[in-house]
Amino acid sequence: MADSKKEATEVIDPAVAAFIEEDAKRKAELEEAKAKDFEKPYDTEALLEVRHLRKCFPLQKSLLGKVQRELVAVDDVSFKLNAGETLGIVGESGCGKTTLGRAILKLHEPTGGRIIFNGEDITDFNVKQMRKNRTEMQIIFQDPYSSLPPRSTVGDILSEPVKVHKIVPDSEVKDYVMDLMEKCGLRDYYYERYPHEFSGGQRQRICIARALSVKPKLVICDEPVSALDVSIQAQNINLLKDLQKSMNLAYVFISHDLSVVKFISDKIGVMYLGSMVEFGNKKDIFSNPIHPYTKALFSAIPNPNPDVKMNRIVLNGDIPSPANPPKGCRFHTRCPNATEKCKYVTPEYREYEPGHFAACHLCEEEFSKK
Amino acid sequence: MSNEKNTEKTQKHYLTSKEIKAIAKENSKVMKALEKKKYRKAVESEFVTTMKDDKNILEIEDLHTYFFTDQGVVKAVNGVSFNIPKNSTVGIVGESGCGKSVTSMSVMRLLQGPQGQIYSGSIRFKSEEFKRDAKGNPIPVFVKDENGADTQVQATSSSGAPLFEMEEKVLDIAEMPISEIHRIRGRQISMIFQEPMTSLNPVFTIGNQLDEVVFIHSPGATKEMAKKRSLEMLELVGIAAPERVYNSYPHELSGGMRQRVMISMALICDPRLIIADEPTTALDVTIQAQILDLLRDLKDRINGSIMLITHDLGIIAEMADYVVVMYAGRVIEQGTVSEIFHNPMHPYTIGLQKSKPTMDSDSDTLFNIPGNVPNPVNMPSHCYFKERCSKCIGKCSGDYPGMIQVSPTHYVACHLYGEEEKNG
Repeated sequence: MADSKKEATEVIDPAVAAFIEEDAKRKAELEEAKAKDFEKPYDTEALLEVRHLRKCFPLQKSLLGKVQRELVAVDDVSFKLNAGETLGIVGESGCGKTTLGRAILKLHEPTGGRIIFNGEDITDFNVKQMRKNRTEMQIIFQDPYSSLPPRSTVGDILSEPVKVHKIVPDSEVKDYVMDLMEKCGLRDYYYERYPHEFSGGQRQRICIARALSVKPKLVICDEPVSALDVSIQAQNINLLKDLQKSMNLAYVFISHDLSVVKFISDKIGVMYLGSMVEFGNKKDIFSNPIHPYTKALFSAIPNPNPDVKMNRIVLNGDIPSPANPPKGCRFHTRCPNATEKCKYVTPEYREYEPGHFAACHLCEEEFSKK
Repeated sequence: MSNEKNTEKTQKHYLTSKEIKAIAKENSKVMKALEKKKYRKAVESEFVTTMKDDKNILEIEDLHTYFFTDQGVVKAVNGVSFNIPKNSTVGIVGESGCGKSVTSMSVMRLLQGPQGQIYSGSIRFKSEEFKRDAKGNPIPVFVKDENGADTQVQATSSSGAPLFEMEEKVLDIAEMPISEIHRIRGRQISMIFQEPMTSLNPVFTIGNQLDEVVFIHSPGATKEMAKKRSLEMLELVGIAAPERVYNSYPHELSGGMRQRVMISMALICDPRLIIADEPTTALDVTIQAQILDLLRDLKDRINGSIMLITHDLGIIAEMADYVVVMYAGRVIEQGTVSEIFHNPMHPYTIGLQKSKPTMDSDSDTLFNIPGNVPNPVNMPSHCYFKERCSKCIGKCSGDYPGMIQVSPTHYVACHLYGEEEKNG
């Protein structure tokens, strides 16, 4: 058994070696490009710019605290987001979308890369410096049941951030909060009620109101509607959209539900195992998906029309463990069209159409033919 | 804040301890009687009935399942009737708290007692059971040898399990005492639960848990037989290395794999009806696609029926033959898939379909149904959907609307259509 394996590897060896060499070369090139990228001036138009963001979690530490094994949760993610726009991030569980959202807010300290918010590099800001920035960037969490303090009334929950950040003078706080509650579809007599008296949809509205109480410019929505029922989901999505228009908010909308993301987003990023595999405007991504994973993801959504026959691309297998990701293209283990090259060489994340990025060898070949 | 609102608040939300005590006293009386009925010793004739339509495998008629809480009686299932024909998939849609899961739990008799009780109604199931002799032992099937004489060699199925003579009986699950339910539960009706993470036992291997089902439900099974059957089932659900999975513990498997194990466990006794309670809600989209493909495939292969419970209309459209739409413990519309999707009649069904953003739509705002599901304690006497409905007519304040037949298979419970029918 062992002998035959040896032989087999020896036979393919030259090709594989070439691939491995190519991979190493590409990686070196990438590092260079990264270094150059960091020196580029900040885009003054964009509200949020993320450059090659990387976040690792230590899995195993030596006695002296040196990290021996790590899990790369977010690897080399870059994008730009303008004020008033929505970026939708889709992907399966464990692909790093939540970590990305939290790293942008610096709730997780990023391991590498740069976060430029409002023309300022906030990557190395400490807690004190960040506190000033917190009024500009807020988050709405997934689970409305565990993200509200059970012992405070709605009024307390909503007025606390206003008081802490001194958004309005103390005497006007109550009026301000009442106004905010009205905007978010909460009745005025909810002010003295406790979170447990509300249903999931209403609690999520309280969370939305709390996030908006400090007049942010950017709100990270981490699966804000996935815990809700369909009819309540629609109410809250509409609310988010209305608020965006009236307050000129930018959203980073994290969700696994593609139809919701399609509805609310202007730009969409598709993540797989920690890296962005495709990024572009909504129209481009939906009319012309490039990456095979995006295609499979789109085809997997059940269509609520019994007459439409599904031409489904069913992916085999599960997501590989992010602690031990496959070499080369990370998607090659499940990709229906994977080639030998995909197994060894990391694909380049490049622009195929203006504003439409993807990382796939197969598309590269296709486009070079054109 | 006005005084009026304050009083309204207290009236609506809080009960005094005296009131709670009174409710609890009342409840305990009813609960005791129902528990007694549940644990009684009964002769078989008490719960053997006949089907209304022989094509059905399950008939639920006017089922009432209540939860007796200190805040009042929660009528989780309030007069639900529908049928499941043989070899078909019936989808049950509704939002959380509409009673779809409680309906399935009632069929399996898995309600948490003593609070949860089937109050009234009947669940008729066509079961296929072992024929038993006077002593209560199953009668084996003997093979005829070459001479044509009966020998004492028992016939075996393809997997090597011994065969017994079978007979068909119609049983009323709602009337059965709990001690008899094992004749049906697991063997003939099996269930795939929503949470594959929590529904497997973490301290036993997958093989151990699968074999147990075989031991319990097929008399005369040996260890080898059970293992063979388990591996066969694991292979059937598309697990690539059944031997490895057989020996592993649940925590070693991913969510999709665990759900596959759950499905294989549900199928191991060749059930006549599978209840899939949100089988893909906890899974990712791509894994969901795999599981749905698998379920559709298996239904034809094992020749059974599926009761599919979900809140995702997309899954229903793809999988189901018949659809039952539930709202606040009642069936509000039922019909075939094309009737429900192409000609939805109840305002709630219409709203539900519009409120889900689809991949094809390009509209700017989503349609939404205003408000929330009413409080399950103290349901109003008029149509439960009245407060949220945009098409209310004067009649809606009256009694709860009855089921109106629109076509041979399409029923709707709404006053809007009753009028039309009378006029026309």
